[in-house]
Amino acid sequence: MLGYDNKDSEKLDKVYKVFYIVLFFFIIKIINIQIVNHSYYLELSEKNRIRTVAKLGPRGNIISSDGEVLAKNKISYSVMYFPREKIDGEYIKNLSKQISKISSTEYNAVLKSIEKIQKGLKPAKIVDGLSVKTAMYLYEVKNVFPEIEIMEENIRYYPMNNMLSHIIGYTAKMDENDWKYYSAKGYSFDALVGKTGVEKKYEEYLKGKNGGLFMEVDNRGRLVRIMGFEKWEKGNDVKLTIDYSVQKAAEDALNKLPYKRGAAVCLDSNTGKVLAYAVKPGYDLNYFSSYREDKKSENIDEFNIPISGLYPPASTFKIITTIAAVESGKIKEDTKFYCPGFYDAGNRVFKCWEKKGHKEQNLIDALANSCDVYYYNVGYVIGPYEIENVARKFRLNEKTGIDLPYEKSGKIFGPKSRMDSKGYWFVGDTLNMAIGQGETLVTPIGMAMVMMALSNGGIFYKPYYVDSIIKSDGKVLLKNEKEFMGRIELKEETYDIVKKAMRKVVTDGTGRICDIKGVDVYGKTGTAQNPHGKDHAWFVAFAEKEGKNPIAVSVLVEHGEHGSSAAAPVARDIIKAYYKTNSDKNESVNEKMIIE
Amino acid sequence: MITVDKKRKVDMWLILAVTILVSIGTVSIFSSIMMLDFKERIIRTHILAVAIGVAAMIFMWILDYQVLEEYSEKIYIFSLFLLLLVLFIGVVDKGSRSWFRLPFFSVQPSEIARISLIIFLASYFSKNKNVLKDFYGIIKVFLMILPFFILMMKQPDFSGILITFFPLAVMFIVAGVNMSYLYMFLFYIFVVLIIPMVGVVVNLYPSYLNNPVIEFLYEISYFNINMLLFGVGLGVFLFLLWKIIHKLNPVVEYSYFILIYAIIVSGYFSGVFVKNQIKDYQYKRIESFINPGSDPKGAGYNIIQARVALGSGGVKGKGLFSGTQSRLGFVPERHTDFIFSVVGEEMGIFGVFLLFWAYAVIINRIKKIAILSRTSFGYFLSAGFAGLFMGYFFVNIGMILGFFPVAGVPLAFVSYGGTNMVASFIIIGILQSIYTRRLLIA
Repeated sequence: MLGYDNKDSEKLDKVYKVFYIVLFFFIIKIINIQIVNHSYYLELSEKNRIRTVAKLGPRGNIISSDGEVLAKNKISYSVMYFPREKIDGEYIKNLSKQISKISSTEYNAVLKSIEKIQKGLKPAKIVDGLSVKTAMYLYEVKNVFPEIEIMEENIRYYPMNNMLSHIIGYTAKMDENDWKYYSAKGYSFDALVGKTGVEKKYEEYLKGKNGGLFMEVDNRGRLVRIMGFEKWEKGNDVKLTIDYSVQKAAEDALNKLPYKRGAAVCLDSNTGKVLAYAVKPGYDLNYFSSYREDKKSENIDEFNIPISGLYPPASTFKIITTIAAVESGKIKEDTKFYCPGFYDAGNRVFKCWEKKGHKEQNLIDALANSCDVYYYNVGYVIGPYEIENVARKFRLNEKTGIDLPYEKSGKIFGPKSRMDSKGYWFVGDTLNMAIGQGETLVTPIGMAMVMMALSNGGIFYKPYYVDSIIKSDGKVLLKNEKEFMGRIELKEETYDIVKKAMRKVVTDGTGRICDIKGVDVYGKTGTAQNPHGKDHAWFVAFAEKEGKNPIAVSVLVEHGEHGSSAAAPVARDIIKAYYKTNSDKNESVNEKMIIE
Repeated sequence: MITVDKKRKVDMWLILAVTILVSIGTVSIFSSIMMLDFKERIIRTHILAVAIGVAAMIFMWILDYQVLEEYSEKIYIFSLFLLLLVLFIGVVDKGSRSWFRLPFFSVQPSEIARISLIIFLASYFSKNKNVLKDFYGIIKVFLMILPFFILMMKQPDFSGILITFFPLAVMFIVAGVNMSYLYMFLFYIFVVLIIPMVGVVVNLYPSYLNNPVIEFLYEISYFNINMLLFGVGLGVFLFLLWKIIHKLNPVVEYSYFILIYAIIVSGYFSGVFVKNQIKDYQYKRIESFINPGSDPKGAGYNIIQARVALGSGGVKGKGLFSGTQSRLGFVPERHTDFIFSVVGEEMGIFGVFLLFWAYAVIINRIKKIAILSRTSFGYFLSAGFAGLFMGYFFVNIGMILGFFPVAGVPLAFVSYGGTNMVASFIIIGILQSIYTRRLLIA
């Protein structure tokens, strides 16, 4: 029997051949899977096991030029729910009750989201945007319900609420279009992005680098362990040209007024820096970052008065007429006209605002007292072209080019423009034009530009409000410099006369409230007739003091009635704040006395 | 008894290969179950199974394997009795009533019954050398093994049946089955598979119903009057065909046509029967084998995740106890049927090749033992065991590599599973017994 089946082993050999062939194919396949496609499968396996919870990096601060923080980050808390198996409905209901009480969110919403997470067994956020105060309660809840995890988050916070709303802008959750744009840049879907203003324009600088919580999860998405934590990095700070003290003064002054809307712009005459940009009412920027569906109905007045608001310049336009008069050579400083309180234009009588009349006035007095009849005469003498030319030189029909959306250009009312629209020009139009009534429209910032040019000898600098962008280590990433836009050539004499006249407005005329000790303030009040309601109040000015740049100020108060009583005090506060002086000469001036 | 000296009594290669496989398996099992709540129980059971397996191996080794030949019929009948018993007192797990619940562990009698069947057939073939040469002999053998398959069907344990085909096929070939019968059998299997496969294809791609052949096959795949019509119609068709051919060439015998008719009709009837026996999840497995993307979260999930586990292991592997796919539960059944993916993930291609090598060594040594065997019983027995190990290797690894649909077949010595472990050790014990006694003369 020894070696019995040797002869038959061929059949077994055949079977073994099959085995070796199969083994060969297996080896080929295993090399293909484990070596050739290794990286592909490795990536898949990493995707399987790693879940990232992005921790939004704090955005950079937005600060004023004097270091006041205008936009910063606030720690807020969010609650994540890490489901585990076998949790009964009662338990979830209790948890939802607690969370809803602390977060003051609707119970049903919380319950629904927890139930959804429980069903899928994947950790997710249930509530966010909770204040620091709630954290303590949250940790108490966590002691009882270990399934929740409390996470720190950065949310945008604007400590000044309504201040500078249009310049700073706000951040909010992304909408569909934002997501298309930002997702390619590695934003996580719950990130806040700048929607307007500096927040939007400098998004790439302000944005912080997200940190993250890397979790290892099992096949059901349940947390196995925290793998690591990447610290976030704060974004870069944006430093504005805004001088907080000036801004604050402007805001406070506007808020003190009983009128609903108004605006004040203060520019540095030698650079174009925006020192104050106050809009009343503005809107609370915090509203958008803590945006919730249920608060949607709130009305927000987003109208950007200084650049989008067009108003008749009214008596402030007399500055332009004055310049035109002197430039024409037909009117001298001491050219006198008699004001009986009205001006007879032949077929129509034009009134002065002072019914009693200003009696005999020279150019300086006329501006100081804002005598309408004097300017009717001037208009009549020098003609409308002269005035329109000067208004164009002062760019009243152009945008300033400030880096803000929806800026409007003013409209100059004059014979040339009238010709463009194929209309006729009448003497009455000339008279109206001379005192800034009629169809001329200007923006407050446009008037501020006129003041800037008068105070620095005719140069227009483009207004800008971002000074620089500074990295957290102090490195300056971007620095804005003044931008020369143009220069007006006027006679020396013209400047002297206009300044003298405007000075007299402040010292003896309608703008006496702005007379500040130690500061040379030059101004002009205005009261724009408004067919839709009470008149709008204007005050435009520039101020000089040794050792500091001159500034240009433009204040408009809607329905403020009198420039001298509504607008001028705002300008006074702005100028005082800028030059840091507390005493002013005419504190005791009775405001009623000097209304136009 | 005369012993011939200078000949080794122990097949060390076999012991080495088994040791390697059990070590790889143990490490992988422990690693893959670290996250499970009942890991202590699995560890305990596994160690117990290996211990019992080693004891059983030594017992079978000491025992002269020829005793098995003597008692082969009784062993076979006893194991059939166990299979019958499990249908009544067994417990259900994963849809199959295939377990005896014992105090510390459960036992799957089919694992033992499979060995018994191999022993029985080896004994029968060695006693009846030419039984497979003629048709009636094959029918006889077929009837003898039929009870085993029927009882397995009843559990139902399709994977158990599937794996049994491998040792049977090898034994039939080695025992010198008339190859034409084998081809007939393959034809029968082919016919059987057509009907369920049409169902699968139509489920996956309903547009195939526009194809008249597919539509016809789909129409007749249900228990209704169509079945009878088809049976009769085919008979008439073949009869006419024979008539025509007979006219042309009178030598052609009608028996061929009867045979063809018998195979097609029986295959067809079995096919319809199988189609109705196949459960939904089994359909899904076949579907996702054809197209793994068809249901990536469901039936295709296992195979995709197992592939990811394997592929992510790369050359070096992620390290012992560091395979994320298996440890975190992305690969289901990772400690049992999908243990190979754990090996691939944690030990890389080195581990895989080591496993392949060990399996090749075992299968090769079995051939050596078969050839060296002193008796023809030992020869057939070894061949059957070789076929069994090949079956485990082909089906289990083929499944993970995508060559084979998902089937609940373990990888012997590597997968977790007490009865399979013990049964595999018993086989090694028997093989060692054959090896040790190769030179003994009774």
